[in-house]
Amino acid sequence: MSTREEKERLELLQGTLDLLILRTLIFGPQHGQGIARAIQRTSEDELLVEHGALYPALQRLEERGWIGAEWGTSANNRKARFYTLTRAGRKQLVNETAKWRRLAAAIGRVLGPEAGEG
Amino acid sequence: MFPRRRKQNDFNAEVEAHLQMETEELKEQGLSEEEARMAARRAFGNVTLAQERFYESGRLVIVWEQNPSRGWTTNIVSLANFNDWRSQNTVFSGMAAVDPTSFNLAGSDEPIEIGGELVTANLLSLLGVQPIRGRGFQPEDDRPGSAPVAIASYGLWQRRYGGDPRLIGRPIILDGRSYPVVGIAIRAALTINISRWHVLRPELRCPRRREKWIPSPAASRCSIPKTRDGACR
Repeated sequence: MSTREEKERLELLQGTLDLLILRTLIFGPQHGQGIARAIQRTSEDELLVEHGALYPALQRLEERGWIGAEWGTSANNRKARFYTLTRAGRKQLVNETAKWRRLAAAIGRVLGPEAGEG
Repeated sequence: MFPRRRKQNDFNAEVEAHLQMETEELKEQGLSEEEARMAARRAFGNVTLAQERFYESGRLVIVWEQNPSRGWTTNIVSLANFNDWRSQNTVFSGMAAVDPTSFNLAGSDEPIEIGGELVTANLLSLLGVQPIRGRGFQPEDDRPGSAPVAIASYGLWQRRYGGDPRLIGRPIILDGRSYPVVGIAIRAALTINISRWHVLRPELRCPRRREKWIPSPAASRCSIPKTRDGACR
């Protein structure tokens, strides 16, 4: 949190937050703050989810039926709204992940090997 | 425009829970209560903006006039045209107009200039906003010949009137005219920066001033024509 704060983090590409949220929920229900933390941790601190952007994204996913939401109790006994991946959401995750991998691989091919600079 | 929207309270509770959990996590990392709270707040970013985005999410749009011959795409609209749009509307679940302005507020204290909005009476009900005290606007409130009324913001109510509930029903003087306060707006900002408006007043006459379409910060501006599902060009 503190050491990396000043360093430049990668900015999320448009549309990728939805995908990362769906992916995070594959491990079970989670609340918004937990989702943001999980993305940050799993990306080894490269990605910081702007929390203000997280909730509109959750709302969007909920409206599309890809996630469900329910108030529950967090690990430290706090009331929190928990999000769950739905069947449709799981399908969406599979499709989008495949698309994303193709895109990343294609961009990788265009950019060429890492050592080929200069 | 608002099918099965979550209640604002519900969203606020979620944000509050988020901030508390974040604070606790940061405290475990060794920050003091105060530092942790500040850091959680910073990490969250602008709460108001989040609310705006939340409520916006594709449902609230600004409609502008176009003037193709001059290349204007965000032309402001006259009240008469707005009334035509509204009466002929088949694509939106509702339409309201707002006009940001300022008023001279006089009374027992020093007169001050305050920001406000002239609005159509359906604005708050369209947004699903209930005043925390008193009543919202009623359809009659913006009809010609009806008695002028105003809704005060929470902030104005607190700062200027010390949260006195007797403000409701009492007249305030705006630009030299007397308006009974019929309600106090909710505390948090919602969608269109209601927190910035100190006074809401239904427009009674054909305004001399321009009028802007409702709401919403930057993101979703539409020019008509648009599709039934609200998709922007």
